[in-house]
Amino acid sequence: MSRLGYVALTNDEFVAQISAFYKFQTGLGVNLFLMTVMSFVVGLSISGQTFYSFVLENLEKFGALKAIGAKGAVLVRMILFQAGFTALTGYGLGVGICTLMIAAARLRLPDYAATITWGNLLLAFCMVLVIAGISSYIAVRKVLRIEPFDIFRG
Amino acid sequence: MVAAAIEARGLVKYFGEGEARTMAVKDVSFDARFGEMLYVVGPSGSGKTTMLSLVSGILRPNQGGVRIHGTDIWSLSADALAEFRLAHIGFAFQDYHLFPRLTTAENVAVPLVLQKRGWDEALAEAERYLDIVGLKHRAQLPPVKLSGGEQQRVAIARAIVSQPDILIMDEPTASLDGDTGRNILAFVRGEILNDKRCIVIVTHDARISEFADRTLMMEDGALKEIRNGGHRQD
Repeated sequence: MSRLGYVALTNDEFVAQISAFYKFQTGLGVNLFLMTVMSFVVGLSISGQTFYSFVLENLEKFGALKAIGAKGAVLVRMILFQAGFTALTGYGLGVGICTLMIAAARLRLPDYAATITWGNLLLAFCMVLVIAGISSYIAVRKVLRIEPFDIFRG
Repeated sequence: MVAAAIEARGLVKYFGEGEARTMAVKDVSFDARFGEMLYVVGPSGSGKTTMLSLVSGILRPNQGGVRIHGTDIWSLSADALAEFRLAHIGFAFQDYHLFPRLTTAENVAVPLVLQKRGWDEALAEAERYLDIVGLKHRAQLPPVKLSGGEQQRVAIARAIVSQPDILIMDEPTASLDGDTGRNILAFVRGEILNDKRCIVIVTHDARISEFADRTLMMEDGALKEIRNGGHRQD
């Protein structure tokens, strides 16, 4: 067969070759990569901004808690809990919406080629954790620097 | 001999360095006793709020020390000091600083939750203290539904729910009309003050002067005078 210029491939090998072709020999791979990076940056910005605003809005409340006797570790746990809860909720919603969109697309195009693999889910989960981690780090730094004296000073 | 509730010795606090240094508190010493309602008065910028922060363990002095019930609070680590405040000092802030998303009862329960008491137990105790301040019927409302006087009472309930030895009140009548302010102070004097508790109040409100046992007069960061009784404006 090879003498005739043909290549014999298994189904998996064929899929891998097609995938590699689109990823590395067309602009599609770079576009997907850029989209992922942009999603990460936008997600990080929105999440960080939202968390920072939340902390700024509640600065006096955190100060009051500190004055009453809340230790730094308690405040850190509060922020981590909120960041974790928000991240997991967002992750769940995101995966759910993606699944629904693929299902909806397949109603019109039964052979629509889109799959969510365990690897994709794990990668997205890790990215969400990194976003939540960086956002909560910024918030924690701010909260730990609050002086309860400031709420007396008004 | 019973230790004084608060022993403040040679307190000095300044902000900034070099030419920008501002002296906020200059060599202030005083004792506060259990069973006493002590007022700290003085014009704006006289250092009374800074002094209150120094003696309540939320602002470290540059010099001097504070003993509360015999404990040198500024020798404690940050975490130990936070625990000490939680156990021994109650705060009622000028703007109340109640948590808007919690109910009134949950607000009062906050110090108990920080003390790792069970949620149900903390809420039951909070409702008992709301009853003491006459607001049990408001327990399930958010603070925004309460009047200024009621919010002040909730703040007082939160400040005393952990049964602290020292109650610190910063301008408790600043946001209240005359009658409500007097009622709050009469209530604090009659129901909250006892021989195991000392109440320190920063105020510039002469209308409530009659409730003080002693008054510290501050001016330009220094303790100018200690008077028995209140401070009437002549």
